[in-house]
Parts: sequence; C-alpha cells; structure tokens
Amino acid sequence: MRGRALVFYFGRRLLMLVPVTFLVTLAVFLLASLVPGGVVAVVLAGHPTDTATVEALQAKYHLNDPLYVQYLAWLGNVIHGDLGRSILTSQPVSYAIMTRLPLTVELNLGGLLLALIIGIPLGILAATRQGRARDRGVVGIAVLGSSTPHFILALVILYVFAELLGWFPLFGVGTDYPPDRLWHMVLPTVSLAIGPLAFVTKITRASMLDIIDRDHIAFARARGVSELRIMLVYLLRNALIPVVTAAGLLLIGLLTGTVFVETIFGLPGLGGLLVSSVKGNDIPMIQGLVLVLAIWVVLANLFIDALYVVIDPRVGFERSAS
Amino acid sequence: MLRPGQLRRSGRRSIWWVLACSTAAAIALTACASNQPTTTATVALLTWGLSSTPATLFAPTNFSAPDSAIMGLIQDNLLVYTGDGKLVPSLAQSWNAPDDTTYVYTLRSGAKFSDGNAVTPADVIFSLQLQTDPKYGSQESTLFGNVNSVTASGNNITVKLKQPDTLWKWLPTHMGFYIYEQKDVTANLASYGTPQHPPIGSGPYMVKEFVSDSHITLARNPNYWGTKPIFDSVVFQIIPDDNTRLLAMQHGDIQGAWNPPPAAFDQWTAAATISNMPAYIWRGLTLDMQDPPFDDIHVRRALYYATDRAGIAQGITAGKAKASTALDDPALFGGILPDATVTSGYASIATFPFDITKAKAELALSKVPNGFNFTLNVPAGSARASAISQSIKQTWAQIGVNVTLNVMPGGPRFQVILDHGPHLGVQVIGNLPDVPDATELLWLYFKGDQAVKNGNNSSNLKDSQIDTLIQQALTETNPTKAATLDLQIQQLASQQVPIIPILWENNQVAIKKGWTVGPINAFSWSHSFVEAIHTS
Repeated sequence: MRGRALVFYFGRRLLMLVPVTFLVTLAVFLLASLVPGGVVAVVLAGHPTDTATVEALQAKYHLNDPLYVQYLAWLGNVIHGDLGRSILTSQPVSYAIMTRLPLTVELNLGGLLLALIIGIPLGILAATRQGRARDRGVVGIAVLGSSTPHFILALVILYVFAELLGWFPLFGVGTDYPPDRLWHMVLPTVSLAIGPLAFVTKITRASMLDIIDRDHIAFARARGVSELRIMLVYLLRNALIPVVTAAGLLLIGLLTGTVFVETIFGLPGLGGLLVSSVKGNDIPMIQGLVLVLAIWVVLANLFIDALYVVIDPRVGFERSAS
Repeated sequence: MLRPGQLRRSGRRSIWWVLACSTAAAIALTACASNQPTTTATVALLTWGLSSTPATLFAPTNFSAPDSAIMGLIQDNLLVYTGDGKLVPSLAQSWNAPDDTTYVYTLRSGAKFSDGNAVTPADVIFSLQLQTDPKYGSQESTLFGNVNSVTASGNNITVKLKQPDTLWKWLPTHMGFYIYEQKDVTANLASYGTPQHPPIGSGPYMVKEFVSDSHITLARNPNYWGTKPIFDSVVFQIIPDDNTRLLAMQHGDIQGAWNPPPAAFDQWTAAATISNMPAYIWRGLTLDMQDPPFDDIHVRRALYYATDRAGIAQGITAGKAKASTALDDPALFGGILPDATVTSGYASIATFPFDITKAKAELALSKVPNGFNFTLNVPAGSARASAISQSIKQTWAQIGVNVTLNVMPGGPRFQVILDHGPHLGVQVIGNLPDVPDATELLWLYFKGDQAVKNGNNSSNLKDSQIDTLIQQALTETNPTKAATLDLQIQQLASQQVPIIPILWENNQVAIKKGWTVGPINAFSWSHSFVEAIHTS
C-alpha cells in the first residue's frame, strides 16, 4: 500500500513538471518581451542603421508577430523537441544547451559531492567535540568559507595553485583525455564547493547537536553499543534529514556560483550562456535555458524527497485521513 | 700492381670527372635556390586571449569589429586596407572606376576557398547580395545601401551605385564584403558561422575547431593564394575574466590579447609589450537641440565648459586617450590633407575648455540660470560610459545641473536612441568609423535625415547648410575635396554645440615580450592581423 502511495505521489510530482514549466516560460517570455530594446537594438548598437535594416532584422526573427503568436509558435516547436534558434548566435538552442550542460552538471555535482564528503565529517567532528578547540576551528573555517564570495575564492585559489605553485592549469577544460579533464576541473570544483561545504558543515553540526543528548543515545551507550555504530546509525542517520534538505537547496543554488566560476576559469558551461543571453535579450535562448532550469529544479526537489523516504522510513506522502 | 696511394690513370680521370660534375651540380643547385623565395621560419602556434566568444563567424549575423579580426583570418576581401594606410589588391587583382558610380573589379585567377573550390564572380556577387537583399537581414546592410546593381562579365565584376559615394571605395575592404562561397552559405544559411557549421573562406587560415566559450582553432589554409603567414596554427582562447587573462599572459599560456584593462595596465606592461593600434574611437555626449533646456545654446555651452575632458582622458584611460574637440580624430585626415591644413581646420573648431566659472556665467545667460535636473541613461557593461557619466555628474553639479544616472542594459538604452522620441536629452555615445574616412561619423551624427526613427543623430541637428556640405562630402570621390568639406562641416557644426566631444581613443595590443606588432590599425585588423606580428 505504502509503495503504491509513493508511486502515485512521485508520479503526480513528475506530472507537475508540465504546468510548472509552462507557467515559468510564459512569465519569462512576457517579461523579456515587454522590455524595450530587443535583440535588434543589441546587435545594431553604435552601428550605422536605418529603418530598412531594423525592419529586415525584425522580419527575419519574427519579432513583429503578436506576442501570443510568438509564444505559441515556440511552444509548438518545443512539443516537437525544437527549442528554436538563438537570435544572437544563430545556434539551435538545444544544441547550445546540450553542449554546455554536461560541464555545468559535472561542476555542480562535483562541487556538491565534495561539499558533502568533506562537510559532513567536519560537522560530525565539530559536534562531537563541542566547545573544544576542534569545534571552534571548524566553525571558524565554516564561517570564513560561507562569508567569502565565490569569485574571490576562485581568484585566490587560481592565483595560489595555478600561478604561484603551477600545480593546475589556469583555464579551460583540457582535452577529452579523462585525467587531463579531471586535472582541469579540480580548481573550479574546489572553488565552487567551498561555500556549500561550509554550509553543510554548519547544518550537520547543528543537526547532530540536536540529537546527541537525547535519551536513546545515552541508552545505546549504556548498553555498550560502539561509538562508531552510535555515530553512524543512531546519530548521523537521524541528523541527515536537514542535511539532505540543505543538499537539495545547494543543488539548485550552486547555479549562481557556477556563473562566477565558469567565467574565472574560462569554462564553456551554462552559466556564461545564461548571462550573455539575458544581456542580449536573446529570447529563444532565455526560454530554452529557463525550461531546462525549471526541469532541473523540479527534478532536484523530487530527488531530495525520494531520499527522505530512503533515509527515514517514517516519512510518507499519503494524504492524512480526516 | 699499383703502389699505395697511386691510382690508375683511368681512375684519376674518373675522380676528377666526378669532382667536376659534383661541383657543377652544386653551382647549378645554388643558382636555382637563389631564385626561389627564402623560406621564412614559421612558428607552430599563436595563442590569443579573447574576453568573449564571437557570436558567429559570419559577418551578416555578427557586425563586430573585434570579431572581424578572427573572421579576417578565414575570409578574404576584394581589396585590403593595409596597416600603413594603403589600399591594395587582394582577391581582386586590379580595379578601376570608369565613372563616379561604376567600379569594376577584376577577380584574381586561381584563388580558392579552403575546400578547394575556386573563388568565382558568382561568389562575389552573392557576397554583396548578402548585404543588399533584405531577405538576408544583414546587420551591415545600411553601409551598402547605395549599391544599385552588381554584375559579372568573365572575371570582371561591376558594381553600380545609385549616386557617387566617398565611402564606397573602402567598402570592398570591410568585413561586410568578405567573399563567401555561395554554395556553402546557401546550403547552411540558418547556422552559417556557428560551431555547427564553421565558415569556409579563401583567407590564410581555416577553422579546425569552434567551441563556444572555449576556443577557436585555425590551421593554415593550404589553398591560400597569398603569402603564407608565419604561424602554422592560431588558437583563440576564450578567457572572460580580466585577471585570469593577465595570469595567462604572465604564465605564457597566451602570447597576445587586445585592450588590457586600464586598471591593470601596469601589470600588463610588466607581462607583455603593449602597442598602440589606431582605432579613431570617439566618445562624447549628444545634446538634443529640440529638447528643453538643451535647446538653449547657452545651456549647451555651459555644459561643455563644465565637462573636464582632459581630466577624463587622463583619469579614465591612464592617459592612453586624448581629449577630443570634434567627432573625427585628426589622424583620419593623415595622408589626405597637409598637416598644416588639418591643424588649422581643428583650430577653427569651437571648443569650450573646462572652466566652472565660465560655465556658471554661460548658464546665467540661459533660460535656466539656477540649473536643472535631468536623468542620463548609462549603458550597463561599458566601463568608459559609466566613468564619463560619473565625472559629468560631479562637475555639472557644481553649476547646479543635477544628473540622475539611470544604468540600463545596452539594448534598451540604444532603443531609446533608435525610437528617436521627443526627449532625447543627453546621450552617452561611443563609436568609431567603419572605413578610413572622416565623412561617416559626420553623416551619422550631424545629417538631418539621420535625426529620425532608427537614425543616429540624437542631437537632432538639422541645418540645411551642414546637410548640403555632408551630402557633397558623401558624393565627392576626390578624397582631398571630401576631407576639406569634412573639416568645414566640423567647424560649422561646432558653432551650435550639438555634441560635447570628450575622448579620442585607440586600441592597445598586448603581445609577448620580445615580439613586436605593426603596422596595424582598426581597418587593417579585419584582414589577417597576424601578418603584423613579428617574432624576431
């Protein structure tokens, strides 16, 4: 019964993708279209121009069609798997996104994993040594990490490890040879991970402290359960729900840090594409990116909800009986 | 039996015969070699740092002077404007103008695109039609609006203009008239010049790889008709962050970049050799002469007096730019008019050097002696425009003119100018001529028929005498006469103060220490700028 309820629940959530993406793309389209000075003004700025040139460009990109015609045409193409073509770069939107998406996903997932792999143990260390030097040290580093902007961290890391020490390359993604690719992605991933790592550390520490003094922990110790088992089964598993929630927020929030990191390290990801599209008012590209990001957010939330069920079997999503 | 060291008589003859033949052969080979061009040592790779990816590598969809430096390595023109200011044949081996509206270009035989196909007159015609046919929606089409027809007879391509045009002689060198392969463009028009379909050209290089936001790799075009450039391969590395680009230069990961930021100029100078590249960029303000209170000449003069142009040039550009007194940089007249004539012409332009006391006195004569408030639109992302705006906000406040800065994205900001509404007020402008001719900027910013929707004359200067002179200059094919008219136009327009000129600026090229660059200018870099780089 529970299994079927969960399937229905997640099925309904997946179906929500449709109205959510529709509403988000419609809102963004209307907002972008209502801003005066579209992409034609962007490409012609400062150049000799006349009415014939302006009208030819508007006709070429169907910018004089009524807004609802433009949006429905775009929607119709999306249903057939065509996200349209960028006005600024003439590239198919789906091609531009798909060639950049893997790197951004790689960067974000790598950053998140690093944040969790290091942040959770640090949080546990701080919680189990509460009030002592190690706790204060970890909290201090966490405060520093979460307070320093991404671009500052990235520049400092770049200067120290790439320029001064020469251990890593300054920019780019390297070749397709996996070790070379990995070598190029170390500094960007670390730069992106530091802020989230600090956040995960603090959340883990707080969550652990909330449980560490509970009766069932004392009872487990009294019964002679090993400290390692207490830590992993009794403490951590119970403390993970807030950490998983934080991870879900990070999975979505990392995108803002990605823009800075991709810029500083010269990486061809979605962050730079988003910025250039918005600056250029390139509506087809903005629409495509918003669609992808909306799907990302919905799926990330769904994934986190599914993790809850795994971590804590008591979590259910059935409607409560009246 | 022979003694040691003694050869038979026949053997001695054989040895001498071999020696004689060998010597003759050596002499012959040397003579042949001396008639061949000396092989120039080549450099395997040039890596150049770019701050952004070109939108496309196809000029009709990317009217960008910086990106033309890349396109110019792949494409070729009928004619080329060299770094030392000469108009020379390229794909056209010769040209002539039988009358004021007819230009005939003789296409060079044997020129090929990188795919091995010959460059044909049909390709030339098609390349011009990309600009003249509205269905292509080219961003440069306004420049080619005077073309009436283009036809071919054998290898001769004839361009007929609607009226005589002083700008036309330069347009075959412009990025808008790169010669494209008709077959290739037509088959892939929608995505031409993108990573999906990089362009094919007849220039010295061809595209091997184009990865947006990462890099563009060019390799030698084996079919290039011209002199082989020294670099076997050129890689443009996209490094958006200024600091990272500097580190890359210091580290040797790149050997060149354009326009180091002024704030880091000292660091760039330590890492590279910085060379000046004439670009004739003009930065200044237009004042809407139909929008109160800017319709009052005393207000315009007062604001001019209150603008610290020299201070802006020194402070914003670390002295790399100079305070301007007109639209056109005097260097544009170089080689056309005698220096003394140019100097005299510029001396007659009305200027109002920075003086707050005189500014206040001038404002006191106006309809708004106590000052006024207004909002200035500032394009976001332009450090220069932002700095200029901040400076005038401070100095104009001293005479009671309070400026509210409204930072806007570039598109909406320029749309205000294109819409040409009734209250254009003050606009911050930065521009440079597309061709080495002083008439273009005067046409754009002073001619009455540009003071309309989709025009650039945001001063709304409408003076019949100035319009007549500009029209004469536009249709004058004698460069000396056109330049003389241009000087006269600037002098006349300055009397009405339609603009406040602030800066004339050039570009800088940062190149690896030990290398040099030059001669080069803003018009030559759209054609194989690597030829101006010298590694020894």
